[in-house]
Order: sequence, then C-alpha cells, then structure tokens
Amino acid sequence: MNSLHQQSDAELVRQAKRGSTKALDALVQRYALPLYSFIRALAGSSSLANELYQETWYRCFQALRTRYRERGHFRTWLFGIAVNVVRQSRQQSRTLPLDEDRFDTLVSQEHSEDEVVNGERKRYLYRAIARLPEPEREVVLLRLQSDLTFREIAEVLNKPLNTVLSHMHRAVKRLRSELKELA
Amino acid sequence: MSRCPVNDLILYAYGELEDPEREAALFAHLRTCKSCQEELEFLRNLQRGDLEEGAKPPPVAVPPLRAPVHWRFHWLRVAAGILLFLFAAGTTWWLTTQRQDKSAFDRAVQNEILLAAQTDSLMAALRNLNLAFPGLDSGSVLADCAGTEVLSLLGNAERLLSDLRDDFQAHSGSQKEVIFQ
Ligand SMILES: [Zn+2]
Repeated sequence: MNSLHQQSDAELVRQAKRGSTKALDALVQRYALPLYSFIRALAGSSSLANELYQETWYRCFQALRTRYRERGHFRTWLFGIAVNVVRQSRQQSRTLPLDEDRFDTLVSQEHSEDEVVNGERKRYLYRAIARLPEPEREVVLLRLQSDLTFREIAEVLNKPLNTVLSHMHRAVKRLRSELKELA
Repeated sequence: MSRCPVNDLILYAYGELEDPEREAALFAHLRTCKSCQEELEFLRNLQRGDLEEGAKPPPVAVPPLRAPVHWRFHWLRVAAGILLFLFAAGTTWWLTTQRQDKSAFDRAVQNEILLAAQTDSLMAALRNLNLAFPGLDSGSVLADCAGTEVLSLLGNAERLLSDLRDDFQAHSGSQKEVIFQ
C-alpha cells in the first residue's frame, strides 16, 4: 500500500488501466480532498458538491477505460473534468453559484475563542469569492483550495498563463476591497 | 513609477517565479511601490490556509477499469495462438525436411549408381541385363533397388549377371522378383 502511494500519477494510471483497483483507489485517495474542496467551493451546497464530485470521478473512470492517453498531466486533466462538470451543472440550474448563503455551511464549526475572528473573516472571504465572476472564481479556488500551480491552472482551464494571472489579479483586487469593508 | 509587474508579483507570492532576473526587477519595484507591497501581503495571507476546511470527501466506488481475468484470458489466447502456430510450422518444417532428406538420399544412391555405371563392368552388366531380359528397363530396376542392396549388388555385378541368367532360365515369370531374390 505504501509503495502505491509513493508512485507517480502516470504509473498509477498505467496500473489502473490494466485493471488494478488498488492503483485506481490510490489515485482517488490522492485527489479526493483537493478535488472535493474545489468542487464544493464552486458548487456551494454540499449535496450538489457530492453529486458533482461523484460525476467527476465517474467521467474520469469512463475516460480512463477508453480514450485517456498520456498527454498532459493526470492532475490537470482531472481538474479539467471537474471544471466542465460544474459548468454544465450551472448551465442546467442558473441560480446555483450565487446563492451566497450556501457558503455559510462551509465555515467549520470551530467555536474556540481565538478562532471566532478568523471564522468571521473566512465567512466574508467565502462570500466574496462566491461573488467573483466565474473565470476569476475558478482560478482562485484552483489555486487556494486545490493547490494547483498557475501553470497547471492554465492547463486545466485551457487558457494562456497570462490570462490566468490577470484573472487572479482582478480577483485579488475585488477580494481586497471587500475585506477592507469588513475591517 | 514603472508599471506594476502584477503577474510576476502573483507568481512570486506563490513561489512560482523561476526567473531570477524578473525576481530582481520585482524586488526593485516592490521597494518603491506601496500598492504592490500591500497586494503581496494580501496574497501571502490568502495562502495561509484561508480556505482550508474540514470538508470530508464522500467515498468513491472504484471499479476495475478492465477485468484482470479478461486480461489474463486475452494473453492466454494469444499464447495459445503462438503455440499452435509454432507447432504447425514445426510439423510442416519437419515433414518437408524429412521428404527432402529422403529425396536427397535417393539422389545420392542414384549418383552412386551413375558413378558405378561409369565403370565398364557395370555397363557390361547392364548391357547383358538388357540382353538377358528383353524389354527390361534396367535403369528403373536399379532405381528400385536403391536404398537396399544396390551397392553390394553393384559390387558383385558380374556374379549378379550370371545368377540372373541362371534364375531367368529357372523362372521365366516376373523379372523383378527374380532380380530381388
Ligand atoms: Zn506596483
């Protein structure tokens, strides 16, 4: 098991394509948290996030089974699927992402004294991120929530690096002014 | 004040600015630009686990992308195919070489006969054979003998001739049977 977790994505993909469920499971474990938190922040509600998260893996498995070829990196390819899944779900029900109240549920139930202020800031930050235009929100969440590099984000979103960076810059400007209001 | 290198500022904040020259230029700019200093501070704060939440991803059912059994059967089929092909090819090869060996043996014997035929004694024997058995294809008779006793027969051609003559007188039936006795 340990050795599986030390293997590269490409090696795990190769084994998974040969029928190893252990290798595929190791891949799922590796990306579960960054993928899920990204989808959850984008989708808003956790029930929808669960659905889109399962859908993302389902499409990933289907593609691995048939048409996936080693071209780019698995991780950017996987997040690319997630972005498409979320966008498609948004097209089906347009009210989704801007329902800011859904983000309240994202604030953890940490009620320790010192954390209250921090929790409040988080709440504002989530709301501010929820109000960002979609291209900016995707970049911010892929960077902050999923810890992808900007070069990887460019690959995921199929955009030039400079475009990704200007999305980030504009997003940061908006978030700064929103959080200034809080302070 | 020069134009703010915002893209490099963002890359630097996340440790992704790999060009030392651009980094030096950014530092020079940061010393003079308050706005960029604030943005860098904000970016750094954003990184500090601001969005980390204890969200638990739901379990995912992991299917085999390809049944290992099928995979094994697939290769078994291929292996069986290869073995069958090798067997068929080997048998064919063996049969052909066997046949080639046989005809090569026959040819060798015939060569020996030819060689022996160049000697006067055998020529005389054959001539006498033809005389003794009118209508006898002496060449084919010798070829039929090939592989059995023909060489020793040739060695004793003279004696054979007289024996044949005697036998022919005794049995005027099948000429070949006479010769082979
Ligand atoms: Zn500046």
